[in-house]
Amino acid sequence: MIAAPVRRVHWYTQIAPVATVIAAVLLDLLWIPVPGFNAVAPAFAVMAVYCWAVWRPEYLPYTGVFAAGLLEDLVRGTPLGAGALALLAAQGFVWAQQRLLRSRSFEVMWLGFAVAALLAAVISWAAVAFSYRAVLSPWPGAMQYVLTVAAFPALALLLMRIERGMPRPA
Amino acid sequence: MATRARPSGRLWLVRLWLQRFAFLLLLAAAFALLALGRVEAPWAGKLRAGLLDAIAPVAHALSLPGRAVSDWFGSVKDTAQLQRQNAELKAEIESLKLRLTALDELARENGEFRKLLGIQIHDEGRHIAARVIADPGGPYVRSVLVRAGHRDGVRKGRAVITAQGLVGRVTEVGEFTSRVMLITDLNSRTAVIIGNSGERAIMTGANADLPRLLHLGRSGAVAKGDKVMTSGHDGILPPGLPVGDVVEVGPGGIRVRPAVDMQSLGFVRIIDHDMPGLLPPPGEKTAERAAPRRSRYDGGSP
Repeated sequence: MIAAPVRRVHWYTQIAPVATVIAAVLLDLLWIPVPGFNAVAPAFAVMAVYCWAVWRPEYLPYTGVFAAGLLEDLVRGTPLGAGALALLAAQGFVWAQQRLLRSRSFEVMWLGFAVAALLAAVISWAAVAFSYRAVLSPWPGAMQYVLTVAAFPALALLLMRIERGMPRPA
Repeated sequence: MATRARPSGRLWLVRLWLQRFAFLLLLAAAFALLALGRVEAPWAGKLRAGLLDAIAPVAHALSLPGRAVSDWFGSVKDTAQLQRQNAELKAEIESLKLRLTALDELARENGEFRKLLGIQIHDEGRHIAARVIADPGGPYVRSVLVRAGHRDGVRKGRAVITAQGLVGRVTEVGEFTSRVMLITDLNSRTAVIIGNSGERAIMTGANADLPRLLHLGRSGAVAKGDKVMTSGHDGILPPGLPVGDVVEVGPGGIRVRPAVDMQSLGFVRIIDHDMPGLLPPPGEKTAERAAPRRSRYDGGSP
């Protein structure tokens, strides 16, 4: 049997993706003193899930994304399961389009994010509407989507620095 | 050097299928949670309440920069307006002193009449002051987190007000943090009475700035500018709390502008108030309540 060296993975590499996704969820609690902004503030958690799913999918387990989604619902007060569905959908999209998104230019990655975030926004809207048994206005969600896509490069560059600082497997 | 076997092609395939299975399983679990969400399970309530306390320090820390900016702008604005406001307030105090004397006399007379007629009214309850620490709702929820919980005597369903009027009601209670559903939230329902016409209605939030009035008896009797107050008929909120003014009456419905500016909530007051004739929620005994209480009714036993 051919033996291969054990890949020693630094603890930082193992926890950074899920930890930053959870930190992004908690960013929902940031108080912005602009009237009405908090209702349409960018969805940071989708950005974090997308970035790690593209760069280091092996360290972003589905269970971690599911837990982050539940945490998002608990923080926001939205129906349990809506956030988890949206984040898992974004991760599933990247998984399905891995070849297209990996090792491409940042513009392609941004475009991919626009699609993933749209998927997450539509699923989130439909999930909350399903839970409330009500027709919800899509406009607040659409506004949040626009701001999320616009703010993506800022968080992506921050996460890129974290990713580049990760020790490579020994 | 430590070694391990390289995964064979078959093992890799099995791992891939397991991953796919886990993904589908988690999607199904999320959907099941969503489908069961309408039935508020006790464990979900406890989880939400427990998490409120856990995230409160984070929420407080994250609110500090925004608060500092907001306070700074507020202080600059205040300094510029101070002199003019001072003169206005002095004039207002004089006017209010006169009205207060008249109100004292009316209150005394009112008390006498109530005694004569044998009417019992419930008191306004104890007020619990709380600071708003976060506004984490997102596009589909209108709620705020406040720094007061069980240990301060807050309980689910309590009315939350400011000096201007009704803000909402408490929906989740942690040990020292609570969530308040605003009257603008889609799930908010408030029994109201329209000032000039005396018409009763249900005010429902629409995840927008202006809630709507539904179930009006004679909607023609409502006009722009009418005051809207809580009626107390929902058995949850005390009657007579200012809610807002009617600002739109038309084919699109009747809309109310809340008396409170929900975008700039700083401090709120939670009314520790029991509605007469209501049983306490399951599992809650009157004797075990966290806060000491005054008698519920004027002239009645607690």
